[in-house]
Amino acid sequence: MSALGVLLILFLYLASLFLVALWGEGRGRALAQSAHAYAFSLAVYATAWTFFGSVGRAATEGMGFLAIYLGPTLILLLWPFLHGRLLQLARTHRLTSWADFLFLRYGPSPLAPLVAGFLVVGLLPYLALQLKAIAQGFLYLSGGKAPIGDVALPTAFLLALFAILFGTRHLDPSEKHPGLVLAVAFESWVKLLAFLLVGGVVLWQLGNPFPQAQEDPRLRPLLLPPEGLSGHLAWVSLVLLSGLAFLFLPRQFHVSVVENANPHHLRLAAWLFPLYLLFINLPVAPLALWGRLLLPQENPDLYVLALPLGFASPGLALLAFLGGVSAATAMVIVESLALSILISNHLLSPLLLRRKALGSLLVWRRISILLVMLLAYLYFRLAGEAYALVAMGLISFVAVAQLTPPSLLGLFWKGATPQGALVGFLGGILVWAYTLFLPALARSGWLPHGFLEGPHPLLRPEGLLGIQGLDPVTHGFLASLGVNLALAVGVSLFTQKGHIPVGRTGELAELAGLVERVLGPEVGKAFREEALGLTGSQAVALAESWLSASLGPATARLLLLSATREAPDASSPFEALLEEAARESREVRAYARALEEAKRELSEAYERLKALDQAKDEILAAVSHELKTPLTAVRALAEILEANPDLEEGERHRFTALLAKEAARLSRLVEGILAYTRLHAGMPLTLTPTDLKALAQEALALVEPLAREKGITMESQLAGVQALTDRDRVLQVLLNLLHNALRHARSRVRLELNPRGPEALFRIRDDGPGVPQEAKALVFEPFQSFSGSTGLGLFLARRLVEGLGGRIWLEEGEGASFAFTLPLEVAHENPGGGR
Amino acid sequence: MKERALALFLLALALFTPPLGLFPFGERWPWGLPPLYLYLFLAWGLVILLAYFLYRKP
Repeated sequence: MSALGVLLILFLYLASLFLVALWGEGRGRALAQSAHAYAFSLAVYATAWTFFGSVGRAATEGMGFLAIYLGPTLILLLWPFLHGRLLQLARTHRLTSWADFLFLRYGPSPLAPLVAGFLVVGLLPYLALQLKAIAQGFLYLSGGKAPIGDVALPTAFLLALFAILFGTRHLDPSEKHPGLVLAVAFESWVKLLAFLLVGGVVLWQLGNPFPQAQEDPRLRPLLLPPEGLSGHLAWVSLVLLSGLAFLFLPRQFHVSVVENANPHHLRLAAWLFPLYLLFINLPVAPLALWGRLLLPQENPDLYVLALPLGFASPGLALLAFLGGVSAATAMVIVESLALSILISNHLLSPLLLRRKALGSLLVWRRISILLVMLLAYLYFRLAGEAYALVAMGLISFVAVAQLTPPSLLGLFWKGATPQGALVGFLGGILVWAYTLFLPALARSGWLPHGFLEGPHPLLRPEGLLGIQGLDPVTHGFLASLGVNLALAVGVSLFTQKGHIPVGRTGELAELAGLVERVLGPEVGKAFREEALGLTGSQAVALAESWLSASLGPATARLLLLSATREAPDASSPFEALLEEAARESREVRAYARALEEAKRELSEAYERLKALDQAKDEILAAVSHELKTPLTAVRALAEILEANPDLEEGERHRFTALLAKEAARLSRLVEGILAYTRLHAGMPLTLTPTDLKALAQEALALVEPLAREKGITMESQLAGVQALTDRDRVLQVLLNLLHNALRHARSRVRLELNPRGPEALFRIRDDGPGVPQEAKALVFEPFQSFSGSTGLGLFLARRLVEGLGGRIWLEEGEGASFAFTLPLEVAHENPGGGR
Repeated sequence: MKERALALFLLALALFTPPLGLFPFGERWPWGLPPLYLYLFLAWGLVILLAYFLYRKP
């Protein structure tokens, strides 16, 4: 096939990517933000390493390749715990990577920059692998010669341009990039269709390879399960490793969290993405077997190109090449973008802040995309066919898996400390370098081969503690993750949780000014709108999340120091994060409790209302009854006087006296009822400074004639007390109580007044028979008379006293003794009384 | 729903990572297909089907 033709097709394909992305930013925006585009963009997981490498792996090592796709299926099933939670956090804190999360969770520590740097180093070879796949495929199709130079370099530049155009238009990387997502989803379709078509046509042309493989003693083992314990360990490790890689790879975080338009899209992705992986894996085994059977001399990684070229048509081979290109480019674009965000937000931005050059951050992010691409290209050119490149896919996976302990412990264990996470991560990457990375360099001849022997038989890099029989990746994965996890948990258990940083608060105007200075006037305006109505500390949290997304969390926090002040009572974001899980369940419980409480209060209020209503009815009935008795008597007496004009003088006198007495009783009753209704009508208190002693003397003077008439001695012992109270009401209470006492006394009534703390205490005592035991409970209720009085006096006294903020009660002892207190100052107006 | 998701995860884990070497995967080949591949793809398909039923409606 002509090299020029293949080159033309390649660049046409790349140009179509730009068109798709442009469309996605314009009219295709709705499609780009749909659940289907989201699910297919997750398939950026399937790289050229899937497209070409899976067949190669199946042809040499058997079924192990499948484990790499079962892991993501498992992890995605857990989305309600993992991705769903991450999306929530990302929405509040505008996370752009796992490193952001680690900063948020563990606070300022070297962990986040270390993670960022390590991921760049660990993933560069993986990027190089993609460029190599493109170059290798191109060379193979164009006949092994490279007349137009190396195709990987221009491709890398075009991809960098794409990532810059569609991924870094704005400073804030947490903004959505619909064009990029649509292009990635489009590439997912291209690689799936290309792969299925190649597999289908090859099977159509060549038939079922399995019966032949069954007979072939070299191929039969490829179709059997892994042997023994080491084989089982390798299988399980690979499932686990690929699942963790799916969760922690920067490009996966970018498409699944940062570019997520709606958390509900996960529901579709949770089954559609695994289904995608299942389909793309269906042709792998047949292709691998046909390759082994028909092309025993060929490089197994090129079977996908070689089989259609040799046994179908060149056009199909070209399609296969484009499929591989689509797998490689999607990965390169998203991974380089994600890495550049890591570099700029965690490594460059603190440096730029120190040099006061933060304004150039976006330029630096673009430069870092170019730089990442260039370094990947250099790595590929330098490593070439070396083991350090070929085996790098899984070694990169293990590097990424080192994020597991700090991230998952941070997400689910409150006890994880910054020290534990840092020490665990450091231990993990050291073991990773010793057991996987350096041996890969040694196998490539860049380190002395003796390195693989290790300084001691127990310290062999690919067999620590003298372990034999495990493949290097499984060994390195288990050792590094084990050390990482053990250190993270162990150190966390033995370090203090550290002081939780004090929350901060600030003025909205100042914060908006800062946001505007750093992120531009448009963002500043949006911030002003969003922050309207938030408290100081909430506005600080909002500003921090906005700044952090664009500049990285460490820089955001430094910038905010100047615009904010400490607020010990404002909860810090870390604390909020730690408390989140606990809070959710607490909130639900508290809500249920509050509902229960409200229901109880409502039913109590209803009962009270019912009782009040009934009491009112009873009072009305009692009032009518009380009024009727004297009225009947008055009417009967008047009728007698009218009917008998010649009544004896003595008799007439007796009747008129009775008439006057009953009329007086009626008038007392009406007065009492009037006082009662006044009370209910809510007449306001008129508070005046009152000399209670003088008031008591006045009351005594007023009842003096009645006492003299009844032959009762009035005694008093009055201390001088001043109070701010309603004079008339107190006088009314005193008169009511004195009248009551005079009615029951035999020979003596005594009035006492003493100060008691913040109150004045009155006591009115008589030497009568006292209140009968059965009546004690009812003595303050209306119309409960035991002596023929109106039955309103004590009731009114109680209401008045309670209205003035005091208490009244019946004391134990001989005779009847009533006491009441008055506050020296009425704190608040309560004219209606205690009920 | 979280319980069901966890249960499905555990089922999938059990289906994907049993000690495969202990099962007689080498003996009979139905329709000329290798039983190990058949098993893995069927188990995978089953898990996807269950995930579909679990998550299809909000």
